[in-house]
Amino acid sequence: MSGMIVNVRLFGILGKLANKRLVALLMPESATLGDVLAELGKRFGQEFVDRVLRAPRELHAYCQVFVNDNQVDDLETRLKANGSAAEVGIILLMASEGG
Amino acid sequence: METAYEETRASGAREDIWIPSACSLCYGTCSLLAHRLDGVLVKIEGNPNSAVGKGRLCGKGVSGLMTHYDPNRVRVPLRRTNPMKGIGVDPGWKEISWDEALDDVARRLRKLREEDPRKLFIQRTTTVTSSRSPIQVFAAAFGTPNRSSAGGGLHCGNGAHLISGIMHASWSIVPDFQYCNYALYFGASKGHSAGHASCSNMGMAAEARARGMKMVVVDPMCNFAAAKATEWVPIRVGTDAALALAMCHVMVNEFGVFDAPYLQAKTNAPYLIGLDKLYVRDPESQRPLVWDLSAGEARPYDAAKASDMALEGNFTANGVPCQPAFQLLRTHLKKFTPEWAEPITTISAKNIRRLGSEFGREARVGSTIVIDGVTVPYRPVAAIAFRGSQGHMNSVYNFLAVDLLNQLVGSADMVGGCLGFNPACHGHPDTGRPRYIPKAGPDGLMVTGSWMAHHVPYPIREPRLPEEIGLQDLFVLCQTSPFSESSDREELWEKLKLPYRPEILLNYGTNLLMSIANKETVAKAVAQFKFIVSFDLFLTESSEFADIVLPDCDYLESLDSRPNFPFIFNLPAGMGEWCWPIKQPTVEPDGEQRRCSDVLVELADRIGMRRDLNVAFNAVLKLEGPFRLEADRKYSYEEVCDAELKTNFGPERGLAWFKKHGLIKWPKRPEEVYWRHFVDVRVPIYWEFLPRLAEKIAALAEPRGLKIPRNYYEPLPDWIPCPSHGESGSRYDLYAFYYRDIIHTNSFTMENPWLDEAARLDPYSYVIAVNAGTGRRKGLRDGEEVWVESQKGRRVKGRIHLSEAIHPEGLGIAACAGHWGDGMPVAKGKGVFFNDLLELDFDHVSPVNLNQDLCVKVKVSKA
Repeated sequence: MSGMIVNVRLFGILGKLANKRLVALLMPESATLGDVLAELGKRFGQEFVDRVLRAPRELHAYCQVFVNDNQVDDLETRLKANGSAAEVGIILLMASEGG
Repeated sequence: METAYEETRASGAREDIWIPSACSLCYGTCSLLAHRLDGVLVKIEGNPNSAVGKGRLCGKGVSGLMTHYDPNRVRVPLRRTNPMKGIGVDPGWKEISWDEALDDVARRLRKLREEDPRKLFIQRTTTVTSSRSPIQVFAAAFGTPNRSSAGGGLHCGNGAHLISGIMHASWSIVPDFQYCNYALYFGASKGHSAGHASCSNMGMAAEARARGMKMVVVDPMCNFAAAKATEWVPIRVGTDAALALAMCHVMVNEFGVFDAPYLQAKTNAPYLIGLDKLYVRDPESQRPLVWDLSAGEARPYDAAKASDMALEGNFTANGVPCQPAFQLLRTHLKKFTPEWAEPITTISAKNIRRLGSEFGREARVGSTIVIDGVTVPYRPVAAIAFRGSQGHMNSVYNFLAVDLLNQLVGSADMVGGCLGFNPACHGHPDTGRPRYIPKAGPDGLMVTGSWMAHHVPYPIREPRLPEEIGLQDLFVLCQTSPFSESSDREELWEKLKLPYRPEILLNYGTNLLMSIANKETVAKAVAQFKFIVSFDLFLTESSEFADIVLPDCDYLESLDSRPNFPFIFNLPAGMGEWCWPIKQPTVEPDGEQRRCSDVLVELADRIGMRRDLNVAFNAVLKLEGPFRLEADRKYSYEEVCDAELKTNFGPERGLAWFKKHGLIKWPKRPEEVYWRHFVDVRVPIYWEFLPRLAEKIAALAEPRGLKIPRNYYEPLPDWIPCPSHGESGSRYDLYAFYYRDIIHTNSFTMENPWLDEAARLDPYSYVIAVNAGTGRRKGLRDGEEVWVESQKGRRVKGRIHLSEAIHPEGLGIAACAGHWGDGMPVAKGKGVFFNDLLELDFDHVSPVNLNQDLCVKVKVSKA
């Protein structure tokens, strides 16, 4: 199978949940962002998935995902562009407010 | 439109400069001009160039100098030497260096983060220091979900902000003062007191009243809003929903007044509801069905013309009997007759009927108006609510019932109606930023375009067993939670299997011992932290529990690139201008004070989370292009602010440009202000998701011994009594409540000597207000000292003021006064500490959004 390495950086609490802050995934060249999140779920469990996804293939409003440093909401986003694999970053912006 | 303020007088070398910045003495954050002579601030005025405040400042704003130059401010880092912690226990403060302080704090935080970042709890004030983003960013980078705003949400916002978000895509609601003809206030004071867009609203409200806007204020007390109103309607504390629902009944069922086209197109009123209280859904798409009158069949809501959707009738869809949500609402309202509401509210049925009739008539359902060449529906009536009416266990229904008045006549975000604060913005003409517009989410219901926090009010999160100490991930409609300090928190954590316990408290400017509930309960919880670091301006009653106190800069010494953003918070609503000011230092600190934002950046570096911090800044501030922060580079907070301003307004308008000009403005468009007419979104007059949510929460909580009362989770609003309404005992015959004093902001401004003097001259600020007739019957004399005691035996002492301006069953106490600590000597011993009467446990908060109940049944006796 031809594949590509996708580097995923996990920030904040996600790094603690996964017990690592940089994860290298071997993914098919056709892989989408959703595929990467699914792979992370396989590795790190349902608790990890619940933090990131509100519903299947839908991010929580407070979960921000960056592909090559650009914010992305669409989980169908392809990660291979211009011949090279992408770097993915994920952070949760948990916060309450009052006033 | 863009004016420089800096100038230097020709006369000698004497410095004479006016610096544009932002006030932070309440969260109105009005724009100001600070006058500095030879390095000394001598005056603060409103900035007439700004839409935020419109050139005006309130008494607090102009008194800021006295807080700034207060000799009691903390000026050096302090470490406690006494390991014992408790109310009134001397911490034995010892001055230390910043390096020593930061080394110790960073070492402990680094260890905690490695162990479990959730063990860090961050408290942030909603006022005093208005810089939100550095704290948001620090929490996200550290990895803790545990962040709270000490009383902020519990006392005002869990209902008001949640429901304003779901129904108006905004943090709060306000009449469209420029066009409104009939404003109905339920325990609110918009335009007459502090808070959201306070000074702007005050001017706009005054002009509206002068223009002839009728203003009716429903409130137990005739104070800031009611005193200026056309009519004051005294109401028994906590019964607002009963009045609002009875008015809805009068409009819909007695006079047949409602805006059918609005309900068809802009709400879920036509959605078909089955006997199980849930939507009847299209089997294929799972979209809610409506009854298409033209086709004579049920269709998904997005497959039928709005004008063809049935609002009333009985139908069969998918083989099940069903009715449109509006039909259910109309039937539901029939039980709320004025005669039913009279003994609950103490307002006569005749008066209730008149109010309902007036509101419906003044709405002018069906009319339109042309604004700047754009034709928009004209509905010049608004019903608004805030802390007074929603500060109860039934806060959700109270607020929903009030807003239902707007929804029924179609005045929500229409000309003259009830507006959210700027829910849609198309951005600056040069850059198109910031841009946000509400959009349709699940089931076609509205998702906010902008929000104060990162979990939006809709779609509703799925509840789960909690990992947040406030249990917000179980009670997902809650924003700020009481369970970080409540008397039953350990019991709840144990029952719900919270997998850790909080260990370190990072406090940013709050005085949580005074701002939440009775001090003993809060003190017990606070004392259990292993370590507390507190950013403070003064040594408060809460700093007494800290291990390290870090001297913060005040707002006149601080920098923030977004003191008024998002615009849904405190930029005035209605037509006018968009306005983005900054806050900038007007003078340097005179001691070792450092800005909290700078300290947090430094701490992040020492903890080893620079990369996380920079990514979080990029995410929170939505930095883009060349202005995104590089992950591994160290930035100052000034550089971060510069990046945000350039991202939004172009490379030529960075921090240096804003420091000179103070703000940027551009005109609003009707399509932005009256966005609802132009955007295809619906809001729920029938909260179908509530019963479903109750079952999900109950499935997690009830097997673990926590009962979820379903009557708070019905899809249509009702009136549910507060605990105080059920308390008996003839001696406990008054409903005690507190109200926000216009002279003060929470407990903080009590230390300001000018404001203290004003409060001492004011007949209400520092006293206990009781109805004159009631007082006389009890043999009480004006000015004498009394005890106010709850049935739980909690009591406070103060001087009584007998007045005609309060409901005969009410007992009103202003502000959050009654300081006892030595660190704020001007404030010490002034006024009455109402919160000491409040219980803090599951039985005294809304089981839906965890809003605290703020009324207490009390007795009064001579001291």
